[in-house]
Amino acid sequence: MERDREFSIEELGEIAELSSDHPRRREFERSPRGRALLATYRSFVNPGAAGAEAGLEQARAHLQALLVRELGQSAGPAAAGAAGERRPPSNSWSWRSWAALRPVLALAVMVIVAAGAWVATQHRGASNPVLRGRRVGGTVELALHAPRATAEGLELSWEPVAGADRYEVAFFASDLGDLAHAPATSEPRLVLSLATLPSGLTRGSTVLWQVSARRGDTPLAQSETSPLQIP
Amino acid sequence: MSDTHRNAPDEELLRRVREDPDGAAGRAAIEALLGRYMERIYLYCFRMVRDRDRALDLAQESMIDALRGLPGFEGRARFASWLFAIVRNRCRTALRPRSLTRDDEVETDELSDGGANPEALWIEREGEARLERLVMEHLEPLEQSAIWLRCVEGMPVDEITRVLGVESASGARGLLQTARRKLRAALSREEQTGKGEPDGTR
Repeated sequence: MERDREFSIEELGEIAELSSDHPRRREFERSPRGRALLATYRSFVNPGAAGAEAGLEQARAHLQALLVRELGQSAGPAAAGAAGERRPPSNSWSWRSWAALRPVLALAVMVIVAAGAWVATQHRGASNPVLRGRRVGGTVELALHAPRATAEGLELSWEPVAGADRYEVAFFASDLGDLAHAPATSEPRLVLSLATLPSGLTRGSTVLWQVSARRGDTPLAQSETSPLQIP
Repeated sequence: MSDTHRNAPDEELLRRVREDPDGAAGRAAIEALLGRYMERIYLYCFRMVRDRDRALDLAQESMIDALRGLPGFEGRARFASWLFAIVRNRCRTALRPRSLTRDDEVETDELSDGGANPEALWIEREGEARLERLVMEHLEPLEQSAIWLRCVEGMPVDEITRVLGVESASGARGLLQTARRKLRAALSREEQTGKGEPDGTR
């Protein structure tokens, strides 16, 4: 968990609930850092009304779709319920009728998909509801391999990136606070010796790891953060 | 979302996630938990970057970070403050820190010297500890908060006005102008007396 020098971010929720004359809160608010953190935390928890310029409705739809996708649910409970209640078509077709029409339907689907793809490419813009990718700072995405326990320790590896002359591996706490940075390596792998873990990492903990590929000072690619269980 | 999820406190939903991390009940609890903070995450990002697309990117990245980090969340903190830390980190990374004494969003007619600004570079190297000492020594409490939110949190001036509830006509802009003028004067004095040299000799 990130510490902002003398304050831990994890204290914020608790501190915000204390009365304004509570000694802990007064101590926290003594410095500009503490007051700023509390003010920003309160604005996060109680954001107030959003103006139309925020585009909240559209954002909500995007983020809800993201949640459903990331949780591996093709439909949420409400949609699943609706599907279960779907009535059969009023005009029944026999399976033979469907079988006879299958090639025609397949062709129609292909035409519709192709037309849809063309329309999408023509109208790609700010209002496009397609979920955005997770690239950072204009770099391409770097693919991580699953961590592997070896005789040497814990092997972290990733797909090499063309043109990269070094890779930097960073470790984060679950709130993305910095934990450790491994020395840069030119190989697309890093072995963490469990006997001599980088300062900030402890055995038995779960952290996030992320790899950045660089050529000189130019960032070329970056992976997503991925969980890592340190045995 | 079912009523049992909608009305459950965060701690209860987290308990359900821990009990069934890979099952349907756990997924439903995660969806409910993050779903209730989704708008807050987005609005915070929007108010920080003032751009819908950029805010949506940041909100999406924050939510993915939260999903990935949830197994490691031990419940020592309030869920809201843990999530806030994630969103804040994302926004801070996305926003370049504002220079202490120069700022395009704040009129700097009497401050700008039109040339290089060694003090700003120096402060950036020295970091937050140096800034904290300076602002505590030389600024009023409200000015301290305003300059901190602007320079360290990277918060837009209008948002600082809202967050701090500044009611004067010029809002946080006036506070920041005053704060920058005082800090620049203080820096100049320290430069002359040799206090707070960047090589750590202070």
